[in-house]
Amino acid sequence: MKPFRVISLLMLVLAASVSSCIYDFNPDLSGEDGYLVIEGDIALGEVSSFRIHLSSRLDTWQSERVDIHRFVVEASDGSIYEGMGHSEYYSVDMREADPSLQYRIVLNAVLPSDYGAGEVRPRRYVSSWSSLVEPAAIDSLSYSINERGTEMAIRVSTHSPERLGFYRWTAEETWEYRSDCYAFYYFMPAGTRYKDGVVSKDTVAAFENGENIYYCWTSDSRSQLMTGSTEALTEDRLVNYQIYTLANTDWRVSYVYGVEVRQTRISEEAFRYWEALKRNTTDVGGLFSPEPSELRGNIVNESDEKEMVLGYVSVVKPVTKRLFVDDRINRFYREKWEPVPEPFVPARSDWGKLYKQGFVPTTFHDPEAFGSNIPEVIFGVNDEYYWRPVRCVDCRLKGGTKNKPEWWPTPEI
Amino acid sequence: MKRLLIILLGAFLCFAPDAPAQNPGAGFGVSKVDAASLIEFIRTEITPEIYFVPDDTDKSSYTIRVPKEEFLERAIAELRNSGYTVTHYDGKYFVLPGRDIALTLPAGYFERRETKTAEDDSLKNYLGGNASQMTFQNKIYEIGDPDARRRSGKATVRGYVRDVTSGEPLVGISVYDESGKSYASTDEYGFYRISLPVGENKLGFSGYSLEDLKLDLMVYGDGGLDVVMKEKVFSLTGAVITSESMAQHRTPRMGIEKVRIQMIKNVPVAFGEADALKVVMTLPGVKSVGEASSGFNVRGGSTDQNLVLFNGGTIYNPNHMFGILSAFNPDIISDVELYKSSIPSSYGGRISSVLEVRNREGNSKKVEGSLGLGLLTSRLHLEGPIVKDRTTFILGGRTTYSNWIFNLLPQGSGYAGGKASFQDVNLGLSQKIGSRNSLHLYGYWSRDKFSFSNDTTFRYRNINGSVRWHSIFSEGHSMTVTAGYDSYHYSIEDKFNAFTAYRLSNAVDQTFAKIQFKSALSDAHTLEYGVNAVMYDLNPGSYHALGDSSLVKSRDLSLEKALEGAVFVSDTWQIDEHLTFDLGLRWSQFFRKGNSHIPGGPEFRLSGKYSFDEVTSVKAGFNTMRQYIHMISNSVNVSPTDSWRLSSDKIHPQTGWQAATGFYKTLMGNTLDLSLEAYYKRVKYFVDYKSGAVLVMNENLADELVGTENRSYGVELMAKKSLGKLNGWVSYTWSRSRLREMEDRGVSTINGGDWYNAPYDKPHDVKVVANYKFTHRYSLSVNLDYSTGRPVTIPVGKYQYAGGTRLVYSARNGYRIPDYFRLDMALVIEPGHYLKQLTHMSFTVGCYNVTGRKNPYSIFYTTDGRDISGHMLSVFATQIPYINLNLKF
Repeated sequence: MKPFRVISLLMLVLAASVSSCIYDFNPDLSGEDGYLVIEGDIALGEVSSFRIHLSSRLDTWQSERVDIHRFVVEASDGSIYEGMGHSEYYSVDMREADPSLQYRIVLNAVLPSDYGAGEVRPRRYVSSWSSLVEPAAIDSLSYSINERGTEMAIRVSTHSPERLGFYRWTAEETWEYRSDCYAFYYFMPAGTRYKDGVVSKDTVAAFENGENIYYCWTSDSRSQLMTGSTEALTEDRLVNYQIYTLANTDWRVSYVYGVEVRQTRISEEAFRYWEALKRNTTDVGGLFSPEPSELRGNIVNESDEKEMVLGYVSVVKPVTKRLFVDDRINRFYREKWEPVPEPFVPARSDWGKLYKQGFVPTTFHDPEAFGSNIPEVIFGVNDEYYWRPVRCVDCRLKGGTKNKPEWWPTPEI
Repeated sequence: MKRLLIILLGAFLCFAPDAPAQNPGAGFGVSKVDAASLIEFIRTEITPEIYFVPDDTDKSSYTIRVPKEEFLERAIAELRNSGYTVTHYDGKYFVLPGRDIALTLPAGYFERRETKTAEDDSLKNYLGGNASQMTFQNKIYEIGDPDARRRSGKATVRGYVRDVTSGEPLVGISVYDESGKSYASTDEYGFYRISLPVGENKLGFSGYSLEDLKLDLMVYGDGGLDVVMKEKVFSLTGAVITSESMAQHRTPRMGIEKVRIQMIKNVPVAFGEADALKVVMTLPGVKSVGEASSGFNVRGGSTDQNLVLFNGGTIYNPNHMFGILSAFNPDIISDVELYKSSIPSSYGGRISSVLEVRNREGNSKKVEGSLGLGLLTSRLHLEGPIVKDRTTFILGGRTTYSNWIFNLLPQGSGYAGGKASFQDVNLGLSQKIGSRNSLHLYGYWSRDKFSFSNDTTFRYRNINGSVRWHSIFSEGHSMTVTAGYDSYHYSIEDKFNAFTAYRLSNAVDQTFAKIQFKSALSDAHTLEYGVNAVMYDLNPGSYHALGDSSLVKSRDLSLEKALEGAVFVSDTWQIDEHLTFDLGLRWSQFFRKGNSHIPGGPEFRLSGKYSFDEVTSVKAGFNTMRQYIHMISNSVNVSPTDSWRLSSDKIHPQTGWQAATGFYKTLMGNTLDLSLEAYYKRVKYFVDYKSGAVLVMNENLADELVGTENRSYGVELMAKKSLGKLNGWVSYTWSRSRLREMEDRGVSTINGGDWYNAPYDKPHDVKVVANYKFTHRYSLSVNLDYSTGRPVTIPVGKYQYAGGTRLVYSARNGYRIPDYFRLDMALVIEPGHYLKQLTHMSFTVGCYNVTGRKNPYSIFYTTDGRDISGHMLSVFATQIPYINLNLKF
């Protein structure tokens, strides 16, 4: 509910304005664990994936294993789609599934608390029978930057011929970023294999064919819950609907940012579930926030309906769309200023020692100052190289990899 | 504090003809009338400020026929000729018999007393504050016609108690027979009526901050006695002062708390603006969910179960700036009165309490005003006569300049565009019509606006208008007719996305009328009865597109119209000096088109008192209540988005009952009142909501509601010292309030159908409100508040789901936030008391939350990746010093 979301935010502001503060407060509570969590949608036309695990206590991530005897998707015509998997991850091939049928999941599992004296009978969990909600294509995926240049909103437009629709989005983000300092050269200690042989002494070699440790890629999935509905609108059409925002200090947008948004059109009941989950997760603690509440999805233990089972299983047909945002065009990113250590030129005899201490060769200037012409002659004369700490030179140390996705739009490698 | 009491008499004898003997064809004047009629003529035609004690031996007849401007002079001369002394002082005329009263009484009747003649000079001296007040108090006042004197039985004495300088009626003054047999208190018009045995009586008058006054009366029959009290400048020597709250030994009603504006102004509050609602929250039995909340919970009830009346009109949102300030301008109001147990049968429509806030009446002598400057607001008020002594006005306004707060926020916070503002205006007009009728007109308007980063704007406003006619038919009979219109409108505009830009609004409009009669049937029975009707016109929601590109479908929920009607009657039955009952019955019925099954019914308001002696009483009471209008909100605080909905076939009226008992003792020369009250209360059909309920713009709201019952009980202990250098109260309350869903909805039943803590269930609380006057100029106020932390729902576990960490919530309100403790202090500096000075400046320097304790408002968890962390929101997490300036002119 939009009004309430804004109000709770607003109240935090008002409260903040009159010298209120939010403090860390961790009551000494361990809580309880062992609630069954089933995550995943029955995605027609895809291999659907599910995760089945147990909730943890507040103070630890340890949880015991669920002993899964069988996991299947059942169709209303009696056909069974067998779940394949192990441990807590299962996948079900729904590529050939008939979109006109109803589906549900059935899980036979033994929970750790069932083990004890006597015979152990698996519990049978089922989700409610659901049919596919007709999907709607993503008309556009775009971004906009606010006037003050502090926030970038990712927006989606979609529509369907129906009167009303409920939507949920998930987003897989990938971004290319750069290290702070470029390097034309790299260091090889004596004994490193190089081309056909082994280098005999400590060597600085030039990168070839555009190789570098300057550009890296990493990815993540957005953890926030994104939902929208057109119940207040005249037609089932969302135009530039904001699904999430990125701050201008977020390193994801420092160079090239890409996102694949996955949209599912869901039932009203599912939408209410996700809204409530969102409220329990984010809209808490403000002066006018609703109290969080116990939340039940559409999965029950057939022999004990009182058991709390976490998760909601919808029957969906997802659609996806990709968006790339290039900061070389927007100049949106504001780097958190951190001094880059001044480079220095060590004696060749010190190279090995410095390398062990975490220093590597670098350039003095930002490579963009040189354009595409790498001025080889400037450096490397008389074994004089600039060195800097490796954390400012090697992008991989920030968590990314050199694994460029094949669909990535930039030429860098 | 010393205030000198002055009483003067205006004895308007009941047998005196009411109509002035004026012959319309014969110019201005009177012919052949007695002294009483002459005075009455002067009162209606020239000045009402004439006080008269008839000389019963005076059989003179007066004929005066002169131009109007000469009339008074002539009349005075004539009266003096007949042996009266006539004194002119402070714009008033005092006409007193010129002979020693003792001469008119049987010899030896007053041999124990010293009696004095009210000479021109001695009166002047007295009024000037020079003479001993005892001189005056030892005088004997005769009531009734000595010739028609009865040997035994009872007589009724009635009159007005007013402030001598402003002419304002003084409300709630205790009037009592020294023997303890009868008791009365002045009503909102300053009017009292007391039944006394024929013969010699000692009548006491006492009121807040006033010295006790004892008058010797010789009662022959029914008669009048107007008493004027004068507020004197403070005296350092002090005086014997006693408590007004001896009142609690005189009424069988329980759980009534009254706080006057003087006390309200002394209680330190955040930002220093005297705030009636914040003071109400310092009373025992009243709780709130936290700071910056003007919603309050009385004896375990919810916030919508309080009827907030401002001059008879209902205020649906008594807050400014979402609870930082209350809607009542401290310059305009005279007092607040909270009924938390024995609710008089003339009130209804809410389960838990009635909070009455009343305007002052304007000064009837001269125009004056005040200017106040505080941290958040500035205030201006003006009052005075329009027609001297007959028509008065009081006008007050406040505005805010709080935007500076938002400018303090860092640019990067994203909130720098926020703006908050409010204004309110109060108007009161009073017109006296003769001596028996008065007409009052009240108006109130307020608006609040808050905009959030230029995209979202919240607005709400209150409009109230009411008119009240008070008429005294005869000695024991009076009537009050009140009618008015109340309106509360609320809207949000959201332009965040041009395609979904909308305006959401809702409104409550109501028209009401109430006719109330009061009849003293006999000495033992006083009857109050009347009818009350409220016509509701609610717009539960309108949702409209804003701008041309908006795709929002404009939608209006169907309007809700209904009539709530009630008849009520109550009898105050004084069996003897020990035992008194108050037996009330109200029958309410709710009529809503298309909804024929809304149950109405009787509401019983019963209470009884047994007094062992003057200062020791026990009481018991039983009340039932019904409520037909419900606030729809899913937050624990009163929030501006709350909307109101009416009972229907699907939304059952809330019903409740409360049984209570109490013990009262007054000690230390009537200055210290101790009370202990215990109560047990049940409410049914309290509205709660299903998990994930859609409350906004929902035509079928009833489907989202679940009937809930409430069980509350508690004990309230209070020691209150109303007067003296040190005054204030200390209270301790132990109470519980628990909720349970009434129907079984299987696994969806809240808390599995078991009892759970109400969000405002705070078992222990201690409150101290104290004011100490060092001198007449300096006083120190202290406010202390301790309570158990409120219950909240916190997670019991966590899990990975949908790309993030999610929390498992289970038992509702199963955890308590840490205890609440706050100490506030303020130093009030009154102006120097130079009477000739044109303006008087007073200021208050104070500090809210002196210890700087970080009191939690809420506890919540956030998740970031795999990490979860607990947080605590503290509203006023530090000391808030303030200064408030008041200029009186």
